[in-house]
Amino acid sequence: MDTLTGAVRRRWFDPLPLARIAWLRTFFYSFVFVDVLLTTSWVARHGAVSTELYDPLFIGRVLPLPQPTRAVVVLTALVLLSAAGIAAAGRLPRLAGSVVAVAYSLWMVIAFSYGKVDHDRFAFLVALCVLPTVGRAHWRDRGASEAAGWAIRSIQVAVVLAYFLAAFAKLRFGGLNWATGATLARALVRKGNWISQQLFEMPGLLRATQFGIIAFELASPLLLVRGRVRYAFLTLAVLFHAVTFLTISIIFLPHVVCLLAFLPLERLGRAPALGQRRAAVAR
Amino acid sequence: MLATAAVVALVVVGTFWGQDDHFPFGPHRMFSTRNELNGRVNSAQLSFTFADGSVRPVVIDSHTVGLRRAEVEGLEDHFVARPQLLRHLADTYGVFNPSEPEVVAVKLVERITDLERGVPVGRPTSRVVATWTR
Repeated sequence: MDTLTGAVRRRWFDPLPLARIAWLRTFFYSFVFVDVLLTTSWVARHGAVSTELYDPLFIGRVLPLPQPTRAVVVLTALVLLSAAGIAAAGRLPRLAGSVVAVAYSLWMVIAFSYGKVDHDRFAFLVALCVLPTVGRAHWRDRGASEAAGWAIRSIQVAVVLAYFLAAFAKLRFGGLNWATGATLARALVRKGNWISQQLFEMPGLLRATQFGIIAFELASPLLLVRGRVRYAFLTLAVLFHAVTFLTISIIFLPHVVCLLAFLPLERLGRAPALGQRRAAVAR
Repeated sequence: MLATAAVVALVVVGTFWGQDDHFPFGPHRMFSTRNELNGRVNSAQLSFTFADGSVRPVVIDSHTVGLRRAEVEGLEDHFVARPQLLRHLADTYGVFNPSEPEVVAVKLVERITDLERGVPVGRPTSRVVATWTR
């Protein structure tokens, strides 16, 4: 047991480049703007909904959080975006990053306390919580640290857990027969577009896809294997999300952004050498 | 190390015993329920009556009533138990569309599409689940 935890600890804390942390911060904190203002701008419109329809999550009932009136929603957005702007520029990584983590969590309570919870944010929330812990990091930093290793691997493990555990959620709520049911047909009826109309002609394909999804989710720990296996699986994941978007107009964007944690982003800081280094395999 | 283990443990526990309510540690159950191949698919619709007498279906979306369709469906039990809550959807619509006549009545409708071997068949049918009149 001791050797196992020791191995996990060594693996999880193995140093990774600080520059990757700097790039991840820039991408993730910039994405907060995209998320709040564009892709999930519906959250802000909850401010226009009566608080009588506010049906708080467990965390919202346990903590003394304010009712999301229009003023509370606007204030939360302002604090969140200001802190995200500072953090995206690499300034005050601990303070601004922590404010983003708290404000974004509150934003999530505002988002998901009206009868529907989305499941595309676990890894992104983990990322916002771990990024401030690393402290200062620059895009051209040549160094590596255990703190960076821990943070990056935590995001990677969160991504894998999101896929892997989703397979068990299907087993729990859908049963052993999930893959043989009409789940995708339901999604197409509710969310379909012209591409999906063609898919009704091929119910066999829909069911095969359902088997494929389960297999894909169960195989997700392959993302933690270094080298070619990781990149092959990463490509598969991007394809999966692209097809999902084209057929049922759903994209788990905050989760997709977290796939960046698997890329050797530190090379962006050494742009001239990018072409020659592409073949090298990241850790 | 302890914090890491705790978060992993919570999300694993949440997957097997939690509910959506326990966000962010609830189960990742997006599209996890199974639909019968010969079952039915429900989706909510709204119909508004305006002060000028016109009756129109309204797309359920955060741009129209401040809530997404899945949210209105998630709150459906509340609307059935207390139909007067439908008033808030009309009020938000009024805030977003100040130039339109006042909404005087709201009807929440469930549209049902039958599936046969996983393929939609026939015309969808509708059932009124809650109504409110100003």
